[in-house]
Amino acid sequence: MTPSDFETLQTDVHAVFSALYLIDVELLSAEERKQHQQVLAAAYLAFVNAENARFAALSAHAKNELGELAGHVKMMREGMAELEAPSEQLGVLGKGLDALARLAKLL
Amino acid sequence: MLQSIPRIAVCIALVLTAACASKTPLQAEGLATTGKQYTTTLKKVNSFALDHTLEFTASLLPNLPRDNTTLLTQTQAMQQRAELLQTTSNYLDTQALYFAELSALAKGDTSTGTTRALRKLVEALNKAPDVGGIPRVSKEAVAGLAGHVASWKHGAQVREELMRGAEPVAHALLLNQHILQEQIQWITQREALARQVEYREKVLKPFVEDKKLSETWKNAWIKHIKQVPTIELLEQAKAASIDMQQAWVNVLRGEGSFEHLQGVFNQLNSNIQAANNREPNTHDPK
Repeated sequence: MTPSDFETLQTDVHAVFSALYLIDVELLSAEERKQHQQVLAAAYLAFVNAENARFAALSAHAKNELGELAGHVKMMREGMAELEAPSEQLGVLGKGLDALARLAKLL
Repeated sequence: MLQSIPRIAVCIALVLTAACASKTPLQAEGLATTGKQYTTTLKKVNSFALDHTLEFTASLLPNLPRDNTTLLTQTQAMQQRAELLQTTSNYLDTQALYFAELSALAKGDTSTGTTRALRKLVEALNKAPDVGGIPRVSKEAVAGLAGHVASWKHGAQVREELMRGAEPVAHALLLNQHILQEQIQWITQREALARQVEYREKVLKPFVEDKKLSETWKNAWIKHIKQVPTIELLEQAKAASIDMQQAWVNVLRGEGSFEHLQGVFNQLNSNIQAANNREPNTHDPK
């Protein structure tokens, strides 16, 4: 992963968090709301930790792992781009919960 | 022709004398005051950036899972943010002290205490904050700046000090600029999200639900159209920060003045204070 890749990752994490933040929870079922809370928490933590991190200070191992996770986050961003229904968006974003949680931990 | 030579010589001598007699920006009142105003402005933005992030996060927390782990991890992330902003604030204090000591030296305080303090402060400036979230700035970006020191305009001790401090100070000012840009990004991104939710909840929903629209609705609609004053303010701080970098080069060259910047920083300081006192624009996404 290069510094430029890291910047792209920061942008993608911001986009994913934004999409989750903007979902109108009133349109979700009770079960979906719970899922939304979990993914939103992971995405915000990943977003803040990415803001707090400096690429140069990351270990080689972390950079490698980030490279892999960056692919997942990119897929989430692209996957939800064409969807309009909140539950469909949540469906795509919810699948990335694990990747977001790992990302937040790594940074 | 021969008669005119002495006149030309007199004129040149007069011009040179006038140039030497005119005060450099360092000798005139200004650097200490402007340096203080500059660092105070950036510290206010720094503090505003933290408050804004905390407000946003505090509004978000009720919509996250209500368990110990969530609260702990989100709190730790904010503590890390507060820590890096404190480091930035300390670094800005060092810069204000440097400007004050340099100003004292230029006004004739050549005591050992002043020169020793300046040396220590340059050492401290050379150790730029090394914490996450604060971008690194290459020292090469300001390499060769000592060459701008106009030797004939400064006294020996000031000249020596400027040669030593030229690049570390320029580096610090450039780093401040990058930090400011980061902070502006934190604020603008959160502000944009908060505004979208506010529009949906306070403008769009009441409107399409065909309810009676109150004064609150009208105000929310008008507010949505107007530009966010905070963002405008941050852009002004960014412009003033760039001006400060140019002012430093002018200090080295022994030309220009701080009058313009003093006015700008005065205005910015009071505007940021006013923005700090206003109710934060963060919203509950529910």
